[in-house]
Amino acid sequence: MAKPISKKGSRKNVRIGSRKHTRKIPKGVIHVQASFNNTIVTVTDVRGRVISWSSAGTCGFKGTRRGTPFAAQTAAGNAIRTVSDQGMQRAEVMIKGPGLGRDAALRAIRRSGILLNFIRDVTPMPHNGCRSPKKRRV
Amino acid sequence: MQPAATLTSLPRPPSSPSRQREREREREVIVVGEDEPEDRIINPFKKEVLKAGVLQECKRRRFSENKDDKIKRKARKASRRNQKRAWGQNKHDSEKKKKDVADDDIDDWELPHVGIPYT
Repeated sequence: MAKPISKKGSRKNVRIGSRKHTRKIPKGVIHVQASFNNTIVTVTDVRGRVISWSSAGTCGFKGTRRGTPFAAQTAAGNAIRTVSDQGMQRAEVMIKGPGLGRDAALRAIRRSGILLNFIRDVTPMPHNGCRSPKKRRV
Repeated sequence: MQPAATLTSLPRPPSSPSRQREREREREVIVVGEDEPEDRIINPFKKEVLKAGVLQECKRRRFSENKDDKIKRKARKASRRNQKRAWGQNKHDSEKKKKDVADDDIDDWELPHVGIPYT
């Protein structure tokens, strides 16, 4: 999900901040990926490095309950609580996918107190790509 | 101060291969003001996404469709479009009726009170 950032200068694993102080990130991007069976919420900084993430599976939901709006709300709340404690105040929201968790996660983000710059739908849409699977016979 | 929940287009690379698709996707961005209430953020965003047709396209591309399914889908889409057009015509007719009622207020049946030169 998060794009890799190319290393420049030395090839060492340079730590971004110092070890003793946790980094303060005032602005970020909240990515919501809502499929039919799960909802993943990832919070990154403006360069795309992941700060915290959560999903319906990590919140304890299993099976068909992972795709419910309540699971999406819980996942969004868990992901945002960490970054709210770290001091994030403003974010942009990117929503991807057709699942039920879109609106629930958006409402949870709105109610968490983080100010939103804009909300954007980034669902990928193939320009006539490969053939889809055959229809399911239920 | 941020503008209050208006639609803008974000900066994009100038050479875009599918400009029509890009233009459609620009409608899926909602710029949020400072202290917007919750409904004024979520409802316009939902409306814009529905207008762009992203969710219907996602659900269509989940499974491949054969020839008959494609014919059915296009017929359904055309039916919906014609319903929308019919609603538009009804609106036009109602506007025409308003104009007719406005015209009826003018009453100019009385003859002008001037001397007719041939009497």
